Amino acid sequence: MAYRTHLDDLWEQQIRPDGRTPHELRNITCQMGIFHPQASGSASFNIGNTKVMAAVYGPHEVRSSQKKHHNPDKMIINCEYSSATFSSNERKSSTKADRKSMEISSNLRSVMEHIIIPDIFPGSQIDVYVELLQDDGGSYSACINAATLALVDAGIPIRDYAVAITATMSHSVCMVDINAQERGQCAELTIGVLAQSNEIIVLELANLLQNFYLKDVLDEGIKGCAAIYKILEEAVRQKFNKMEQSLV
Amino acid sequence: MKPKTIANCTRSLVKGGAKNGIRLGARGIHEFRTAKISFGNSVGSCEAVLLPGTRVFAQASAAIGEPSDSRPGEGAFTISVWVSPAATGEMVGSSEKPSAIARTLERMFKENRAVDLESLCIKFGELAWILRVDVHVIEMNGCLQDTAALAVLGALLTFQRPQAEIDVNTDELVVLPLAECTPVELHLFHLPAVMSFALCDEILLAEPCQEEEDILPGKLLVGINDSKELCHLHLTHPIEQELLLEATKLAQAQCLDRLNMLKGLVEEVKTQREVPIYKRPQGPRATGTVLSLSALETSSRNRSEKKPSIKYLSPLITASDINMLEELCIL
Amino acid sequence: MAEVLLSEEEKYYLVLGVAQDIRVDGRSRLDYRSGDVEVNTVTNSHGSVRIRLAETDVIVAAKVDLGVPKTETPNQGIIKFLVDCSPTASPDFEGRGGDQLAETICRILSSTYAKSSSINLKSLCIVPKEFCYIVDVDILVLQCGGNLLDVIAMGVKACLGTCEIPRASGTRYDLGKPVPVFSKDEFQFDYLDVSKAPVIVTLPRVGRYFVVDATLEEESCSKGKLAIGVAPDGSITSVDKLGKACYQVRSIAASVQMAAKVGVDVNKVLSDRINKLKLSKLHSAKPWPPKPEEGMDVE
Repeated sequence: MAYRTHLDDLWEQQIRPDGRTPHELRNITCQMGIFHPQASGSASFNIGNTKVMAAVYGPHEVRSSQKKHHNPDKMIINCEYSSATFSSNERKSSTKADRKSMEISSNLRSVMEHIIIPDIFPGSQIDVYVELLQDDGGSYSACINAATLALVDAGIPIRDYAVAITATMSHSVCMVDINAQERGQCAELTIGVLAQSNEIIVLELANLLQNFYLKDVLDEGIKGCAAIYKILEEAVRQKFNKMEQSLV
Repeated sequence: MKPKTIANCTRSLVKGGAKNGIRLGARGIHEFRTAKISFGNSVGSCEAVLLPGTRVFAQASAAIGEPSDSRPGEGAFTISVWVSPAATGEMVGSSEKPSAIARTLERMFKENRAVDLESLCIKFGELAWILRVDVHVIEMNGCLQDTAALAVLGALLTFQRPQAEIDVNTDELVVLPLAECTPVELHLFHLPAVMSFALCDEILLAEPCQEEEDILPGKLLVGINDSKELCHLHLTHPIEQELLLEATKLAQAQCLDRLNMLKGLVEEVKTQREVPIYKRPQGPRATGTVLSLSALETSSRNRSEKKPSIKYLSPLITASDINMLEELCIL
Repeated sequence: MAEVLLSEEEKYYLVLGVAQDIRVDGRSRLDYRSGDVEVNTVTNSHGSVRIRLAETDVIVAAKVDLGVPKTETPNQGIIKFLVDCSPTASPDFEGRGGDQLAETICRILSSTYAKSSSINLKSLCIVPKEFCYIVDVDILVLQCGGNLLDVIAMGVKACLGTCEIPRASGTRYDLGKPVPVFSKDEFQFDYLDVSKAPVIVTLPRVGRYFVVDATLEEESCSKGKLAIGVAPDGSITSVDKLGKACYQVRSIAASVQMAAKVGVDVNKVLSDRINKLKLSKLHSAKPWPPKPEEGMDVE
């Protein structure tokens, strides 16, 4: 029990088990164009030990399987999320898509449909593929950030960045960016916002959260999203500055 | 699945109406639908109706099986959802709808640990109750998740299983018939319910009907339990923070109302179901000849076998069996 | 499989180039493209490498688990392979699209490593008939830029070579049954001996000549390919024919000779690299002072 007391001591000074303060994010690295030139756009987003890669293919011709139901004035946005068999601590024994990943795929598609300018390429299809390599908490939010970066990298016109982060309330303190260790003990609310308008676009809740706390947790999450947005934008600027220089 | 064709005039009617606070069916924009709940003859069956026109039936049942390797001390719990073609007029078997409903229910009841699965364990690592809830969508007019969650909760609250235990001397599984034991109810840690909203330009429409769901751009699901904790949130359209908070407040009030109604109905059913003691079969409780299902299924089974083998026990007791037993023994 | 469409002229240009021993990117027929291996890509596994060869990009991760040996080989451990073609590599792999390719690769790898000459499976056994290690090797294809099979085989060898297998410090008898006891120190581990493990050299025939390390474009010019397993000493461990082509005995003999020559070099380079990676891991994984994890860094 000595170990727990040690953590409790830390918590009294508002230090989380991994040494962060409640409002601190884990270390974030992101990279664009990792699958250049095969994919039209690609990006990786690592937050702490959570690692996600995303690739965007298109816009290209609609694939024959979907042509039947397709309205030629519309654009198809296709998303597929998959998690590697080694991504979690407990090994997954099959590569087949389960209900959980199908849910994430369809949620991701609805987010992408909102940020991509609608029907700007009529009669075409955009594929967004997201692969989770390692899960250490906040994987869904990392997927959204990676997919946004990959869209930017592919040069697909978007209205706004979708950025996401997890937040929670524990011991009446709001915390941002929950890792896998903390996830077991408290609720985990994934919040995604459109970066410019601050409108909420993603909400997913795991475990129970007092309704009373929702406002505070949302505020905390939106603050976290703003921090992520800064990092994403910095990555984009860096990449396109480099491109500009190489053109000159 | 082909998207449904909706007339342009219907579109503009619903959208224009929503902006002016007028809805189809003459409801106010924050007025929830009326819920009706009824219980079937067999234990653990419940039908929930959200007027007008959404009807979902849920049946809970339990069988004895092997717990999973990762959680040897717990029973299992599965939820399956079937959308009947009668409800939609088309086959939606493999489409996203049933799996989306199933995921919502799974999140609320399973991942948030609404059901005490540890109490379903019979023998650590070897035998446990496998609880399953089958959800059938019979009529569909929007708000499927709300109705389905209500039906599942009703089914779980009225479900009863017979007592099962391991005989210490023979190491054999003994399932006591319902007539000779007090039926065991499920233990729920909290009672979740979900409320859906349609979103249309800064306006919330509580519990939309099918047309409103199809026409209005966004949908918000708020799951809340009886201790005012959020247990599920799902959003498909950008929303302002204030609007979201308003929605959770509305949902909380309505959810408590609905849960209180459900609890009252469940109490009623339970008192009806209670069998007066004089109706029970006479005679001493013969522990030696209790209805041991393993003995029923195969009389030639080797009694000295140590480990209770699942092979003979597999599709043991379902709700219909219990019903049958009840009829045999009690009436 | 991810394929590129080429016009007749492009194919003609490519085939003629190969005939003159100058490929489109300036290599000769026996040259490999440049690549890189990095370890510890996925930190929650016992060993993981990310291997890149030009555009081909693969992650191989191994997880070690305790299990029961198979009844036919009671004194051997088990190595299992699972290949997953991620749709990030190509939209063709969406849904179940990559399954067929994955199965083929899985079959070749399993048959290669099932032989006792390639890896000492006995070293994975702890208590005969009772306990052994089961090593699950998961392969995730992130990008496919040609020559996938060779890259995967190299990745698997590097991954097994750098995989940390917990050291069983002895056995304890519990109710008359031997039970392995593991050291509590997580820095006590063993490496598998991969000095005899083979690599695979895939030779597609472009025009009349075999080439090593083909790009996607070159692969689309050939009807089929031969996948030849080569051990470090130059002996051939397996020959698989992939695709629709048929070969004369003479050309198979020639290709095997060519593969043996190239394979020895590849094995040597890879073994050097594995040894270096092990050393670098040793330095980075000192028990004290604890190295701060990534997650602990200040924003």
